Amino acid sequence: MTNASVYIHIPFCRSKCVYCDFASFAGMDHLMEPYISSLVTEIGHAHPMTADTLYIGGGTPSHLPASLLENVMGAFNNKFRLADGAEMTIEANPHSASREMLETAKKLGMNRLSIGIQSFNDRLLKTLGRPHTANDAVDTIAQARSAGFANISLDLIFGVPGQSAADLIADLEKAVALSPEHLSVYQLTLEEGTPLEEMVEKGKVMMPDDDEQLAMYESTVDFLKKAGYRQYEISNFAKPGKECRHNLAYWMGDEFAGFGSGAHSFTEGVRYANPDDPEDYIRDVTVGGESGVEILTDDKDKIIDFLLMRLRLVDKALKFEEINSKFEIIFEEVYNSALKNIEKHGFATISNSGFQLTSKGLVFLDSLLLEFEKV
Amino acid sequence: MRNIRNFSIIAHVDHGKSTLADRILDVCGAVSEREKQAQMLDQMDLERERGITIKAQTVRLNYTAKDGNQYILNLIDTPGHVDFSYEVSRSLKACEGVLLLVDSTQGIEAQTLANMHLALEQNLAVIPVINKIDLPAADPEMVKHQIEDVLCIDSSEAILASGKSGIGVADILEAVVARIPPPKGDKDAPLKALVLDSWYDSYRGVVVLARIFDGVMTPNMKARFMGTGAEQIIAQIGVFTPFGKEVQSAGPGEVVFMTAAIKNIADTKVGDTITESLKPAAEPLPDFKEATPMVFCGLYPIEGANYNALREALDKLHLNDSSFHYIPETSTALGFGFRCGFLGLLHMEIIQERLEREFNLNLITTSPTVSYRVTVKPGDVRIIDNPNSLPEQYDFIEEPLIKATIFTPDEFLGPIYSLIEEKRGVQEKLEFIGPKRVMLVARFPLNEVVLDFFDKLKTATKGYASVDYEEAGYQQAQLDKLDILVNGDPVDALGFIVHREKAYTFGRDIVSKMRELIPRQMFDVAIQAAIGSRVIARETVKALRKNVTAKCYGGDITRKRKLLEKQKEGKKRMKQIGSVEIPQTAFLAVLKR
Ligand SMILES: Nc1nc2c(ncn2[C@@H]2O[C@H](COP(=O)(O)OP(=O)(O)OP(=O)(O)O)[C@@H](O)[C@H]2O)c(=O)[nH]1
Ligand code: SF4
Ligand SMILES: [Mg+2]
Repeated sequence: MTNASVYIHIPFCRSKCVYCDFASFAGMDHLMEPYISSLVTEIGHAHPMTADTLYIGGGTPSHLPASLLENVMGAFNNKFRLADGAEMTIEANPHSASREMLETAKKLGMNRLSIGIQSFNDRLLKTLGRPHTANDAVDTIAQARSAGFANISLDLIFGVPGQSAADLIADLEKAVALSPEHLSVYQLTLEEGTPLEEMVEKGKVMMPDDDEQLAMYESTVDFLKKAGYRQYEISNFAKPGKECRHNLAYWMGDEFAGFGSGAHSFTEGVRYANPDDPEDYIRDVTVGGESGVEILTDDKDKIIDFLLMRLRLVDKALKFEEINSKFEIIFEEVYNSALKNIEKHGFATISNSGFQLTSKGLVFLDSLLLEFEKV
Repeated sequence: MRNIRNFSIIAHVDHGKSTLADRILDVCGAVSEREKQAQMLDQMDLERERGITIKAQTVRLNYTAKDGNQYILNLIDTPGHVDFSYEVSRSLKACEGVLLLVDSTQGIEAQTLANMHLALEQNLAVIPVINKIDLPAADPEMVKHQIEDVLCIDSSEAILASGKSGIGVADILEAVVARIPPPKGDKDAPLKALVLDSWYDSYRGVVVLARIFDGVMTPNMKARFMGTGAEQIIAQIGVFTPFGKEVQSAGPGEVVFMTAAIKNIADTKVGDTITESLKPAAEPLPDFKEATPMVFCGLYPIEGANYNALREALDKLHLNDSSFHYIPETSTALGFGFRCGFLGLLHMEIIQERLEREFNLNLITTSPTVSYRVTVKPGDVRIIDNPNSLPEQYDFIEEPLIKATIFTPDEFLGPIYSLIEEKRGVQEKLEFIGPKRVMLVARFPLNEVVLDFFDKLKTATKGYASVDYEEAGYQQAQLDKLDILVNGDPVDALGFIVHREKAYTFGRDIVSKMRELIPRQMFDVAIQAAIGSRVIARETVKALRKNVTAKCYGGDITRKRKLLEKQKEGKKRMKQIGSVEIPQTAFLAVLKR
């Protein structure tokens, strides 16, 4: 690995949102200190490298006391040299991101802030079980600006039970009015075992149907395009030059190093996963200084793994050369039938040098991957 | 030989045959306390789970009678369900008498009568037993009247008993000794033994169960199967007590199992006669009447690669149940498989389950059908047991009929009449066999019966009616071939022959069920039911609008992977029909109905 993308996971949240099944935990703040010292240990065991990007995600990193964040960054700076113009993102949630926290983050070198807004509609925030209001969100953004963050990304969610097409447009309008550099707009997915799933099953709330969801997706793409945000990934939009470089590394199939519970790494073609449970993670690190197990993948699956990330990128044709040199195959021959098949149905365009999903293909990516799986 | 008694226990389903056999085993001290189990002779898991006997079981017992003499009793516990009556008639070939059980709370039911007829056809001594008299609802007087009226047997011959409490069991054994004649046979004549049953044992190969009529059988003897012509040195002979026990010789009247180095399954056939090669009998014993399958279906391995395993399994299972038929067939939807014939729906279900359990297979069965007689043109008559073989042009088509004998409390006659009408039946006879019980005989097209007749009868009579049926020829009928098309491609596994009046509802029903079960795809899927080029029902599965994961969680690719694996797993169980993928479950649901 030459230059690295580094991910650090902070699993703590103030409360658990009803739709969330990430490796995040509420009511575990007593673990913060031992967790951070384990993080420091794990990072201490890493190979020294030059970092192109750093992403501190969660959970809710802004929920950490400023001093613990300083500890983490201390360990990071000891181990990694920063590349020129490195992108350094930290995630924050409204309300938990105090002025002090934002200033500390800025001081520690963070130059990009990703804020989990989800919606500017208090009714929908309530449905989602978010512990903040729309006003809190506007406040946090203002604070972040005044703390000096010049690169801000907002997360929004659409397809929330009870959300109308007009509600979505209102959210997008409010977001755009605050002129963030970057927007992530995710469709709400019903995850197994979440309280939201139970609510839906019991008929307390209703998810929008497929047609409504597709319409919402399309109007989002449309609206943001007109507002000057380019869709560069299925759910991500940016002003020119403001694409998230850290996430681009994932999508391009580049390697990365992850630290903390639930964090994954990808080095020398091998993927590793740390345990999701912070206590397991702390135990691993306490015992062995490190954590994580290898995820076994055969060569064929490695290609699929690559495709499932890489094909998410919009307007970025996949060159056969790019994939052939990575996996030492002749992709266009081995996967010829799958390519022909998806082209026939209008899901992709193929040229001599590569192929690209159409906008129709993009929204069927999961189905299309199965075509490649068949090979 | 004078001290041998061979008898079967026969009765309607659940009248207590296997339980009474347990008590007889007890009295004869056949099993120790530790080995004891309820329905001891129901050895298959399937039998124990369902609480029914599927296979007849033979057991040899030693009994000391009141006269002080020792007797050898060969008892055969038989199944009661109509689908297994072939097991009963085979068992009776080895017997000189039967215990005919009647549940004293139920009275005479359809298979009581049918099985008694089987015994009388073979001139066997019949000992009527009025069973379950321990129950408060027992009504032995009612049963006695029925025995007189319906079975035409002197009811003073009947023994009151309970297989549960043991009442009357001693009387039964004395009656067996006194009223069932000993076997006849010539010990010095050439060996003649009738193959009653056979099965495949992975250690010993083919095991054969045979009843000796003449001569003596010993290990090391060179035996010849007169029908197949195969010759083998006998390795072992033995008896079931109920546990297998080797013996050194067996003579006329005895029922023994036999092993030899039989590798070729086709060498043995139930109903064949075994003789001694060096001293052969001149004539074989009369063979069994072949069982005629009534219900047919296609049987396919869910994983196409298991075709050979299925063939092997069918060969082995057929050793143990020669009443089902199978020949290879292919289907574009389901791949390579077999067209099989069965004696009834339960038989079909049991065979499928045995194949799956005993041979570790996953199977899919096509909708049960019957065999039609199609006159293509004068002189060209074909039997069609697969709807897809129906020629496009023909003069006329005839459907098989059955004669059903229904025993029921008279209060249900109303609903039964409606059912007869719904199922295109014709009533032939109605007879009161007691103040509140009737015996009704009606003719039905078999295809109506195969559909859901038994379920409907059960509902109509709250489970109080019983039915027996037999073949009753053919009748000309207005029948059509109904196809199911998916985006214009006919699904060959879903071809049906249906009565013209019912085609519309039938087609609608299937099409709407399919619509529920076919997952949305990347394009619209049209499902149609058609007779020839005329579409009679249509539904559309709307195309999927979107299928993409909204969010990837940092570098964690495992979630996406899992999702993909789940989709892939689903795909594995799909069959490609044209460009459409149909889940196996959709076939199953439609085919099961
Ligand atoms: N109370 C009472 N119950 C009995 C008696 N004999 C059998 N049963 C019950 O009746 C049910 C059927 O008994 P089985 O012995 O399996 O009947 P079967 O005739 O062998 O049934 P198939 O082999 O399926 O035809 C079981 O639940 C028995 O426990 C009896 O004498 N008294
Ligand atoms: S804040 Fe984010 S990580 Fe935490 S519970 Fe809510 S959605 Fe999950
Ligand atoms: Mg039984």
